Order: sequence, then structure tokens, then C-alpha cells
Amino acid sequence: MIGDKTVKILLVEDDEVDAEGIERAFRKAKIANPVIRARDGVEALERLRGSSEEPPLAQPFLVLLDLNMPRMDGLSFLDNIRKDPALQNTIVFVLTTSSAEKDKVAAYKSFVAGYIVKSRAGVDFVELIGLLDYYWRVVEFPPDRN
Amino acid sequence: MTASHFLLTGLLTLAVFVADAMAPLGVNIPLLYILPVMLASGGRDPRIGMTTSVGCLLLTIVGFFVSPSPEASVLWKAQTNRGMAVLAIGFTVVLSRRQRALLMRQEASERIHRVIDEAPSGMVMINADGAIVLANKTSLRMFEYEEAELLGQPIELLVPERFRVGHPASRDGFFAAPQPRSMGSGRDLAGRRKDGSEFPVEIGINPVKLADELFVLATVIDITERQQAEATLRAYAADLERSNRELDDFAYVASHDLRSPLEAIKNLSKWIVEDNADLLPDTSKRHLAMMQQRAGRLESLLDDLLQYSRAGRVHGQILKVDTGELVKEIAGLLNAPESYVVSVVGEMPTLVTAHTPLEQVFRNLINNAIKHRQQDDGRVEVSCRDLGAFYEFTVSDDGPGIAAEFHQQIFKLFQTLKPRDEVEGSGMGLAIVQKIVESYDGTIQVVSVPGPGVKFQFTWPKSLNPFAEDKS
Repeated sequence: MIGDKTVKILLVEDDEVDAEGIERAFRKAKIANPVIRARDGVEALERLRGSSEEPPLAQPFLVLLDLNMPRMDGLSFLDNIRKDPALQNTIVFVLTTSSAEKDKVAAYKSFVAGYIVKSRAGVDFVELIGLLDYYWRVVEFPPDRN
Repeated sequence: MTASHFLLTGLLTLAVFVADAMAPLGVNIPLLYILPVMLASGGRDPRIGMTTSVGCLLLTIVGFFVSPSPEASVLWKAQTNRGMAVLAIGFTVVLSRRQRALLMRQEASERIHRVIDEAPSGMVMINADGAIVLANKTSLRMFEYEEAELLGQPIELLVPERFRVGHPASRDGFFAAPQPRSMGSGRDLAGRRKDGSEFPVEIGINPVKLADELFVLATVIDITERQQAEATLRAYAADLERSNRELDDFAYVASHDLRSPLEAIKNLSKWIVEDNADLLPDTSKRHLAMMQQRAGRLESLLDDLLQYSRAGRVHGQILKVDTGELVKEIAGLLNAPESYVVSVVGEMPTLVTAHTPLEQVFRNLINNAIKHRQQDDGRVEVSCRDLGAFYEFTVSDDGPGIAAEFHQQIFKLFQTLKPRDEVEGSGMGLAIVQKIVESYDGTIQVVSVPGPGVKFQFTWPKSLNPFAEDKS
């Protein structure tokens, strides 16, 4: 049963296979939370702010953010939402292949909730799924702006 | 003195003696001995001059007795004549010797002048007023002046304008406390040519005391070429550094960017199997399994490529390493059957060295032995020998061995002696090992052993080159 208080996941990932891998992992773990997919930072911002066709994404939700993406990469996306009063409270987990020091520093400067390197997210992202499942059961999400 | 000179002197002396003996005693023939004496004294060997002089004096005396005697009444005249001749010869000897000494001094000074003129460095000497008193040819060529244009001029003529102001003061300072030293050490010095152009120089200054007057001799070396060579060298070094960095970046990017599509291929093939396990025919399942295996092979190839590109350039931490323990640790981590024995034979040293590279070398060699084992209860032995500045480690196994004709080939990149489907391997392990060992000035070789097995020997320095830097 999915109510209004079900946490939605905005998956910002340009790689089709990686995105599908994560979606598969949720399915496999029998987690039915809706996964909304955006292919880059621009698309993700659109989805968060809403458009003529769709309303803005309502809380509670969290963002799983890749760093290397075309058009607008993950770090620029973070900059954008932290500057936007309506979006600055967004919970973001970085999920990337990059284990570079400078990426981690930059991400945490933009107040990410966690930085996860894909190769350490477990086989079929099992560790990541476990973490998220626990996270939204325990953690209070920011109230909806409406 | 040449042989003909010598002969001439002898003949002349003899002729004078014969003439003297035949002439009546009053005739002053012995004065002619002056000729051979002068001839002999002009030569380089002072002994010949001396011998001739003494000989002629003696002959003058002997001549007195062999010449026809005069009447007793004029004997005193003959004796006086003889005495005057002896005196004249004596004077000649003294004068000749003086002349000769003077000549030699002149020659010596001429020689010194030539040496100074032709010295590879420019030499300029100044007096306490800073006026140039000597400038050798090399310095004239360097500064493009004629000698007459420099002598008596202040030394500041050769100093670039921007350094001229303070120069007399520091010059006076040097005269006050003269100590040989190099000028303006650490600063870039320049000389000024007649046409105003400048060139980089190195200058040494020495106090010289001549006849109670103090001078300063400056030795000037034009270092234009040296600076150019250094600049070229620096450019090469920078180029090399850049290309190394680019290579590193390339290897990093290649291995990361190639990895993600590879990861996708692995995942997709896995999902096909997961989703359709019941529908797929066995051949397709087998093909998909092979696809995954090949993807895995490509993955380890990329890992090794990255390792190879870094080998020898990244030292990591310098630690105290107990090599015996290191081998045991490696043995524990590798994928060997229970019955396979990795053993240390004899004493293994403890040394302070780059831990990761040495560990990589041991790991690759031991792993090779395990991978190529003939039976699961085989063994690999590690031992060490002290070679002074180096340790020589030996890793020997009881595997199939390597035929002698392949002993060089195996260290090349991507060389394997077995099909990859039989023994998984990138063919880079030994290439990595060799690159690491050689970057630490060591050597590695395969030693032929009778019977089965192969024996690798490599040397490793006891202490690291203190100039070794981590270049990553």
C-alpha cells in the first residue's frame, strides 16, 4: 500500500544500465517505493520544480545523484538546489563511480546526506538498498513546502 | 746545443790551440778562445758552457809551455799577454752567463704571457683604483675590445649599466679584505660587450700581490652555452614530466572509462540469465557465461594496465618490511589449494623500503607459481642472499618450468605461454615485476634449473635512493 507518505526516489543517472540495475535491485528487494528517473541535472531540476505537464515533486523524497553526467553534472545540480530556497532542504545521496578526493570534498560542501561509491554499494546495490530502506524508516523528512 | 754546434766549438778550440802552439809566445793568440767560449755559453745547457770555458782557460796555460819560448828578456811581456787573455776569457764567461740568464727570463715571461692570453677563461686584472692593468686575449674576444681600449680604463666598463652604481663600493670592500671567492654567488652575473650587449658570466676573483702593490685578478667564464644547455635540459625534464603525467592520466581515464561499459555488459548478460533462465537453451547459457568470463578478463587486463603504468613511479609508503612476514602474508591472501606450500627457506631480511612495490613483486611471482602449478600439493620456496648493497631474492617452484628459449620473452607485455582459456592471465604480471624491479635499480632473471620448476631471481636495494621521489 503506497500512501502519500511513501518516500519517492529521484534517480539522477545518465547511464541506462546503471539506472536499470538500481531499479532491478529495488524490485529484487521487494521495495515498492516509486523510482523517478532523470537523465541529467537539467532534467532533475525540471522534475523537482515541476512543469506544465507535471506538478513539482512533493515531499517526502530523496535524490540519488550521479556526478558525471552530460549537460549539467551532479555538482552543478547540487549548487543549483542549494541556492534555490524551495529546494535547498532536499536530501541527496551521491552515487558515483568516482572515489576522487576532490569530488567527495565538493559533494559534502554541498551538504549531501552521504557519498556512496558504486563499487562499494554491494553486489546488486544490496548495501545501498539496505541503507535507504533503513534510512527512510528512521529518518524524518523535511515537511512539504505546500 | 746541437751536435754541429758542439763539433764547431771543439774544432775552433783545437784550431786556436794549434795556432797558439805554433806562434811565438808574445803573440796574443789565446784571445781567440773567446770565440768558442761565447759559442758554447749561448747554448741551453750551462754545463757545456762551463766545461768549454774551463777547458779554454787551461789550454791558455798549457799553450804558455808548448809555444816556442822567447828570449828571457821579453818573457815578462809574454806572461803579461797570457794573463790578459785569461782575464778576457773570464770576463766573456761572466758576461755570457748573464746574457743567457736574461734571455731565459724573457723567454719565461713570454711563455707565461702566452699562457695567460690563451687561457680558456677571460682574465682581467685591476689595481686598487679599479683601473684595468691586464686583459688577456680571451677576455678581449669575450668583451670585443682591443687591448689598448681597456688598459687604464675602469673595470666598470665591462659591467652592465644596472650593476655599475654599486660596483666601486664592493670593489673597495674586496680590496679591504681580499679573499679568493666567486663573485655574486647565487646571483646571475652578466658581462657587457663593447656594443652594449650582455652575456651571462661566472666570475672568480683573486687578490694578487706584485711588488708590494695589491691587484685583483678576475677570471671570467662565458656561460651562455651552459645556460642554454641547462635550459634545454630543463625543457626536456618538463616535457618528460608532462608526458608522464599525461600517460598517468590516460591510464587512469582509460581504466575508469573503459570499465563502466564493461560493467554494463557484465550486468546485462547477468540479467538475461536471471530473467530467462528457464527459456534459454544451454548453448546460449554457455555463451553468456563465456561472455561474462571475457568481460572479467578485460577487467583484470585494465587493472593490470593501470598497475603497469604506475609501476616504478609510485612508491607509496616507505616502511620497515620484514620480508619473511611479507611472503607469509601474501601466501595467506592468494588463492592456493590447502595442500600447496609457500615456504621461506633460511633467513629473510628486514629492510626499510617501498612496501607496496616490493609486495607487488613477490605477489606476482608467487601467484604465477600457484597459477601454473602442476599438482595441488606443489610448493614454492622463497630465499634470500646478501649481495652487499642489494639483496637477491629467489622464488623457485616445482611447476612445469619455462623452456630456455622463452626466458626473455616472458617479461614482455601481454606475453603468455598458455592459452588464456587454460590459465587466466593478462600476460602483464612479469612485465610489471620487471618494470618495478628495474625502477629500483635491481635486475630480474629466470635461472635455468635441472628438472621441473622455474626459479626467478631478483635484486632489491637495501636502502632506497634518497633522491627517489613519489612522482604521482
